[in-house]
Amino acid sequence: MVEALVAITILLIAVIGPLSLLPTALRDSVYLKNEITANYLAQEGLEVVIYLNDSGETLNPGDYCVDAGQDGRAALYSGGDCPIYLSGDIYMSARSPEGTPTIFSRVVTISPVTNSTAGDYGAKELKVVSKVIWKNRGFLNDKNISYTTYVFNY
Amino acid sequence: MTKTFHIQLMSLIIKNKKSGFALLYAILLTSVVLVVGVALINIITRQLILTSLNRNSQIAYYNATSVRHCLDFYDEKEYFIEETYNSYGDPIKTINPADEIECFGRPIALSWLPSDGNIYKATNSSNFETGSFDFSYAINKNLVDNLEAYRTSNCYNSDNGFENNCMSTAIVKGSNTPLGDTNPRKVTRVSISLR
Repeated sequence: MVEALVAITILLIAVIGPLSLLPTALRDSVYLKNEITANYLAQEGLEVVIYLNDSGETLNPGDYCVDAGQDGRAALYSGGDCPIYLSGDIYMSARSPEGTPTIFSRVVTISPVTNSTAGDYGAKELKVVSKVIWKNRGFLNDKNISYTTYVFNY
Repeated sequence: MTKTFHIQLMSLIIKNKKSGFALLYAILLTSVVLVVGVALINIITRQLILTSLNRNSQIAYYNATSVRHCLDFYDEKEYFIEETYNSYGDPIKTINPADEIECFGRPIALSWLPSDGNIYKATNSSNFETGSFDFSYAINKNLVDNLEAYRTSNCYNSDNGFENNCMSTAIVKGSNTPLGDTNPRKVTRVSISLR
């Protein structure tokens, strides 16, 4: 009788421990999947700005949504929370809202940097931050990831 | 009496020999479940590390490209080159090793190394708001003086090093941690610009 009780106790402790980890593991897996997606979306945001800068476009300070230009030229545009849509395997901007809405939104912030030397050459230095926010299910807080780079616009 | 007691004792010993299996099974099963649990934790921990590695790698990369964009700007504007005239009055281009440049709103001091043949090289390493950078920027005096050679040089030929074949070479290392940090999560990325 005592032996059975001891055995049941040991089994309960051993099973409940790992089982309680399972929801955490599942939640972390979903979180990691979302973070990796957000990672690439944020990277894409910066790369579009770098591309536009290298193409000779004039960049002005402000908050922008990014159209990565699946069907045309990449562009920045003003507009709200900048939700991202998923069409097939491709993430689209709200400018061409095809597919279904996702939990992601992306805002690129361009701000001026004081650089008198660049000014002497008729250029301006800009700080570019690409931030992706995603909403988690349940009671988890919204998460975000952001990358920063600097460009010279002239 | 003695024989009966002996039989009773033997039966008790046999009974005790059969007991203990439930506990044994419990311990065995517990071990299996624990191994599975530990393996699960291990996988999740590795996933978290891999994802943070990806994030840190991107931070390091953009630190490197930020500095490279800055060096590219000064290089393209020929900030380190000035035009003078020789004794015949012909314009010639020479290298003017300026002390500092301005990047991300702050002065970046340049340490120019002693001229190595035709190559002038400046270095700097400093902490950044999101980590650190360490760059080496070189100008090839031979090609600056001789634009014809610059036009016909094969810059992307790595024989003898890019610095001998290109007019200018910027090699920037970016990290996600401050200089000298021994954090095992430290990632360094390199961004190179050749002209």
